[in-house]
Amino acid sequence: MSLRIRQAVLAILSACSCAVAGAAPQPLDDAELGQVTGRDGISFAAHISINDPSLVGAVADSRLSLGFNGDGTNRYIVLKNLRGTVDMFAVSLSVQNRSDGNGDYIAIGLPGYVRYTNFGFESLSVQTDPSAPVTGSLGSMNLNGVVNLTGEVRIWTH
Amino acid sequence: MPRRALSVLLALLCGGAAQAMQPMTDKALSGVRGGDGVSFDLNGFSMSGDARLTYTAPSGSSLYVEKFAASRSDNSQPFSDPYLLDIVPGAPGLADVIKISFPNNASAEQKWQFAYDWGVDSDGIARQGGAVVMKDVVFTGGGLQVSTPQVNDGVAFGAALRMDIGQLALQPRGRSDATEQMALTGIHIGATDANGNFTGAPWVIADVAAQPAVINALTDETGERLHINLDWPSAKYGSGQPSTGGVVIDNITFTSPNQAPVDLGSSRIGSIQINYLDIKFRR
Repeated sequence: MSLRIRQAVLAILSACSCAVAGAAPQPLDDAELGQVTGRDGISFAAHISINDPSLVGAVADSRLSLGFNGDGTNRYIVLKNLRGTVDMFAVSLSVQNRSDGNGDYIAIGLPGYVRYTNFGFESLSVQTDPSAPVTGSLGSMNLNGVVNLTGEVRIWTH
Repeated sequence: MPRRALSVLLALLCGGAAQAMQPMTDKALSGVRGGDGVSFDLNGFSMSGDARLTYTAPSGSSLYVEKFAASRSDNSQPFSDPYLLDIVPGAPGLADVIKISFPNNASAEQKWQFAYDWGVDSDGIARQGGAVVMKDVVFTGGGLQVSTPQVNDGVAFGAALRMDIGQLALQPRGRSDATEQMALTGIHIGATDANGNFTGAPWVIADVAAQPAVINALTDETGERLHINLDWPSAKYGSGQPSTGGVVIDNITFTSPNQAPVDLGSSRIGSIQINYLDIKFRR
């Protein structure tokens, strides 16, 4: 074997050994093996707080606006101070085989516990300036309490 | 020999590349599917709880619904009759349409049950209205459309409905006490023919091309308004006539404790056409 070929072989073997070393399987004893669990999806819980007025530095006047322009005049549907708290436990997400054998589907498990606390908005109005003071409020909506859900939403392509 | 060793090593390296393309067998190839829409459905769905949704008018008076309960039975053949979400071409010259088709539900296996409590609080008087209970609600076909309006800004939408309700009951003593109630049994809503007979098809209440409904904000002589409109039927994109629907209630009965039930019999509206509808919200 010539010197040049030997050097090439050594370089390739070196690269291989580096690549393999990181992924080399390791033996597990019974205790370690007992800790191994298999999962095929994820679950998540959430605590969401929007525009909480009790926090330091809270915004006192936030707006969510939808703009329309029909005859040259801008008009906006304005929701003032969309706010509240949502505690949710838990949404699951996984991919499953369809029972009819026609592919897979995304399974979204619905949360068994959702608590809404003062969730809603302070006013709904229509106005030409989305930042102007609200003078024609149509009222407010508020949601409080617990919603319990069961079941799942299944999504697939057609 | 050395060159052969090199070839073996290079082959091993190439074989380890995860991104390498692989030939597919006929079986694997037959599993490849192409789709241009999304199907979705519920399975084992139910909802309960004590949440209260309150609307408070600027005057301070309020209306609430609470303790909303819902459930739906499933199709015995999962995945066979889902909701369909597609984006389809609009009529010539009009924008594309987001289309949601409800399950055909021909065997009425997908039944909904609903219940909620309600009440009002106005002028210092809080009044519980009792419960509204809907049993065996069946949607058969129909669906929703969403698109851009033919004129002006806003959201254009269409809706088609065929619905049968086993019973709609107003129960002032609560959802678990039917000793006092007004019960509407056997409510049927759907498309009808010229003679007022149900055709079995959904009643197209609005269509983004033939008779669009629109939600937007507009300005009239008194100011800016939140606006919901069902336009006149279009002769350009449709027949120029609104579709015809009907409503049938098989029986209306009032029940009170220690009283004989008051049976009002049935009610039928054979043909309904909504030619035009314009709603503006104002203070």
